[in-house]
Amino acid sequence: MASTDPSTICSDEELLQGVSQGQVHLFGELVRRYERELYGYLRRYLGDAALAEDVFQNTFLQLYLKSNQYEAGRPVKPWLYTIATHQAIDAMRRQGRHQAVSLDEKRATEDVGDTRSLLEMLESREQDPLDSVQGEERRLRVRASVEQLPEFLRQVVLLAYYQGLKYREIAEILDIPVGTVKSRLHAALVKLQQAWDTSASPRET
Amino acid sequence: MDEKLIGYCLNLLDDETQQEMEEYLRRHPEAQQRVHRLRKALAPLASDSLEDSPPPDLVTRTLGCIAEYRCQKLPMAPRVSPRQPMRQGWWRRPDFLAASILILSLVAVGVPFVFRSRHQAGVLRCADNLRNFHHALVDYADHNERREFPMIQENGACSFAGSFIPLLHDAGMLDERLMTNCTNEGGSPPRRLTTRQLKDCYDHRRSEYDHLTHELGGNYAYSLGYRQGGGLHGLSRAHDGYLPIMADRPPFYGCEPPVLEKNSPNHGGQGQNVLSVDGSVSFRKTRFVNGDDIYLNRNQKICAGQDERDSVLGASDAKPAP
Repeated sequence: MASTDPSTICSDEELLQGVSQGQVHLFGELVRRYERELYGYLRRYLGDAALAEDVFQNTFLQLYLKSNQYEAGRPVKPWLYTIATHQAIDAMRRQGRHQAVSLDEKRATEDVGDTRSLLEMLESREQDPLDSVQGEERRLRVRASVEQLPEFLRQVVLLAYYQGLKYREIAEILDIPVGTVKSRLHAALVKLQQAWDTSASPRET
Repeated sequence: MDEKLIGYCLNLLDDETQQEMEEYLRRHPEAQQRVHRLRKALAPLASDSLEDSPPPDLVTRTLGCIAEYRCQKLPMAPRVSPRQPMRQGWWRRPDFLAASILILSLVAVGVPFVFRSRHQAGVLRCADNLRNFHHALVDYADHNERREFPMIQENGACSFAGSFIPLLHDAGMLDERLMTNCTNEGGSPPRRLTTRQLKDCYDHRRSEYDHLTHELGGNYAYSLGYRQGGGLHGLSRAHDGYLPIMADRPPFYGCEPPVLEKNSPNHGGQGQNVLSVDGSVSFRKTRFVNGDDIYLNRNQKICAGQDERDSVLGASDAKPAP
């Protein structure tokens, strides 16, 4: 019978606790465990493979450096995403790509989502705008529409939809209240629907 | 309800709320229809759900990068060969004397060197922390039309220097690298408190609020603003780049009588790091920048400056009003 490496059955929290107590070899398992998921997140967030690699490496270097501050039991995943998100923002800022959005604009965008409900919008719609578009074209249109969202809305869509994190975890990662996560996601989905409506309408007419 | 339905569709709710929603949906067919409509509307997102594969050696390179860092940080001690048994009577009195002189010389030279290195490391770490604060302050300023840095108010809950921390927190600019207690011995992160929570303390729990006024700014000092045209003004990105905005804390708190000329206690009284509006950080051996005492206004009071060139950086509890 093949022997199982004990580190593979440890939780993330147990692994990091071990690292913080000097069992540095456990860190490799943590990197392997999040390789695909975190790289995917950064690749999508940054839109650049080389930059995503750099940020991935910096994220784990930071996690390693902070591992001695780890408090036993603290969930590792949101912490890791917090570091990754900050590192990604820093990287974009260095490249001059970070979007500086005014707080007023932020509030205004979130309010748009609040005033016109997503469900009301869907109820008044007769046909789904992207029904007629399939395959690669559909994928490209969807990706472009997500990329065009303001950064603070795009973050929430990536974490909620593509990374499958819970409202509570997203709030922790972005350091905002859960209510704000909900309203941002709502606003983002309204904007996406509007973008899809717009992109589909010229073809239908 | 929309948010709950969206959360339910995307599995964003906690397990308990998810179950409650399932129960609710069983009893409300019209809600089921809405969920169906939502799922259909969100379906296009799935067409781009395929993740890009990471490069094949990403894990190896990441671990290599960490190993490299560890090697730089913690050089391996040279392997020491087992000591040869010492011959009895090998040490003579002159040897002891010579060895003692050597050890004393090493201690005399080495101890100050260690202290100096530690002091320099503390100063550099603190300067780095102030640069990080500058990023946060600039982000804050870039998010408002007047490009103002967090401004301490004349009255109310945010009328003390340390309240710039909750203002940054509200704007989402308080990232985890920032420390409000940064000394030669290390640092600790700021308390994450919103202005709403601060106001709640101000309105209902005054003793806790008083404690917070001392605690929030840690051992840093922040600009109390200046008077112009009868009003209180804060610094903005439009101000001269050399003007100080943040520094190591002064040798007195806001509630204490000011001490003249003494340096900040943060770095053993040898000087203070000063962050300017343009993001530069300098370690100054006196507390004067262009002839201006950064800890007091021209009347030698702990309150807002008399004009925009009269910089006053107050300890956490210091207020713009005298």
